[in-house]
Amino acid sequence: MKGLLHKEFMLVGKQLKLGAVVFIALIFLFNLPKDSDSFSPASYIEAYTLMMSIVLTMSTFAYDEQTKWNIYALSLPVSKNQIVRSKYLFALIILGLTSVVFVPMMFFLPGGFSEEQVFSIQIIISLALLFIALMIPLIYRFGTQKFRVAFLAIFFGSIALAFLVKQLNLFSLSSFQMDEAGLNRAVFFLLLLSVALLVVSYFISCRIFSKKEV
Amino acid sequence: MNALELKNVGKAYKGFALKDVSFDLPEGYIMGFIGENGAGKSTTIKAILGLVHSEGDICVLGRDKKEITAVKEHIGVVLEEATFPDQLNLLDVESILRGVYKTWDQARFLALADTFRLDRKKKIKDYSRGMKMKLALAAALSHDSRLLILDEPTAGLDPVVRDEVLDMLLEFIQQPDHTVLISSHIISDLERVCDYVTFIHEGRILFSMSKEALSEEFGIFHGGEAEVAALPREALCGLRRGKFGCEALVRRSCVAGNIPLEPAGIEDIMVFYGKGDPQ
Amino acid sequence: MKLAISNATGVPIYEQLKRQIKAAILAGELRGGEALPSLRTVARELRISVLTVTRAYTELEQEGFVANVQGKGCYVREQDSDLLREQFLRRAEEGLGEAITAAWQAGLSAQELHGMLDILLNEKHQGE
Repeated sequence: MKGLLHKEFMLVGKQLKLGAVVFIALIFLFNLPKDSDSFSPASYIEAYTLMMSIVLTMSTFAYDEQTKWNIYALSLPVSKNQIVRSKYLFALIILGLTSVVFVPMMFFLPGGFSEEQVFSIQIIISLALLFIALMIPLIYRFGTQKFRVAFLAIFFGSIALAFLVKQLNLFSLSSFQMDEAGLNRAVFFLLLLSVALLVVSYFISCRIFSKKEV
Repeated sequence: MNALELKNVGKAYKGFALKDVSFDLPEGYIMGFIGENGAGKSTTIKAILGLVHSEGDICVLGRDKKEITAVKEHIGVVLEEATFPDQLNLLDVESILRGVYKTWDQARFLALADTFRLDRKKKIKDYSRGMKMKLALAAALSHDSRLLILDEPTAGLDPVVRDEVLDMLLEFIQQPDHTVLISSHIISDLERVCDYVTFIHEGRILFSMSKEALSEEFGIFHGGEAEVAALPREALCGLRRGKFGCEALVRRSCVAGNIPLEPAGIEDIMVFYGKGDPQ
Repeated sequence: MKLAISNATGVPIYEQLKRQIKAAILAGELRGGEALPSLRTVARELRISVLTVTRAYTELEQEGFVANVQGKGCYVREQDSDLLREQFLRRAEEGLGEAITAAWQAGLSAQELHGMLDILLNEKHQGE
């Protein structure tokens, strides 16, 4: 299975490099003073890593469809489940890589290691996991074309929604009616939930893929 | 031991179905799996490899189809439609396969690539069809393969490439535990080299036997309408009417010994069967 | 030993193999006790199927020319060269029989046929 992951990385190599460049640029770009009330730069950047892992994973699916890779892959000594697993692992690795690079960087950003930053990062990671958990089975079921359309709609839709929410000040972390401990628990719970859903998603994807005829 | 055993394999699609596909391929030989386009060769091969679900029993290298993923370590595959991702080059492919096959032999793969004169740095999308196929063949031969399955490997390729492939196959079966299943609708290359022939037509196996037995079984009869009509019904397998007489494919066992028959080649048999019921 | 398969003659491949091996035995190129090349080697070199070679070797064994030793290969048997000669004599007879039939169809006389035979013998001799 190592070979499968190898293949994904080789294919998205260029995109990955480009993404890394943008990533670093963003870090410098956001290294500007911001008022503490707005979303911290860290969360914007972490959101970017969320996008990266999603977009790159989607690319690997697109490449596969283009070259009918699955037919060849299944002539190799790898099971259908292993193929599915490599997709999830890939998405997680990208997410993990960018997060790991990012955490030390946080020291250099305005706001540093504030509570708020840590919270928003955790939330965004949870969102990333949830999105991956949703995306992969859908791509297996409907293919990348249909999914792309849905993805764009959801993505811009949720940005618009978040923006709206922010503007209307309906929901602000600092004014949330929960004490620190409660907030900690809630965010942690969210993280656990997304991990659990990711696992469930894996089994669903396996099922969908095993039924598929190549 | 049989390298391959199929028993009543079936697979239904809309408008096409494999039915009761059964044949055995003994270890150490080359089997030509022939049939016209759309007869079911690729579907059968996909069933053998577990790429599609199928009914019936399939035994590959002595193991049941449930264990097919593990057995693939010892199966080398060259498929018509599946290739490697276009953006990669040969060296990328090598590093991928190195991480997939336990018995991967890097030196052998690179040596084969050189023999086939494949550019190592060129992107696969710039490879010609023949080069892509040779790449797949090199990969198929670079791990501990005991069974080679090739699906229309030489369709659309020039005789030089076909010859190279033949050379490789002959080299491959120098080991008595190496077996080859090659499907093709172009039989001329294989005719001499095949030990066994299995003919599939509209999803059913019409016959599966050794090539020697085949030449004993069938013959071609030339004659006029009346003479052809005089032949016993069960002997007739195919008929061709022409201006100057008729040609019939007959079973030698069903006709009298004194009737002169010409040897029937595999292609002849394919064409006659393809023309449908002679009665 | 030289072996070659011709597609043009219409003689089955296993039969061609048999004849060439028998000829080699008769000519003394293959001695008693000598091993025939392995099945797979012959198949590869001549680009024919293994079963075809197997058939040739098996029939040669049945006809008493070779002996198959399990696990070791095929070995030439000490030959009764008279037996071999007889086989070839019979083939010469058959060939002559066919030539006579064809000659009659062409309207050749016995004398003309004899003349033709002399010319051909001369040519073949010079070719050697």
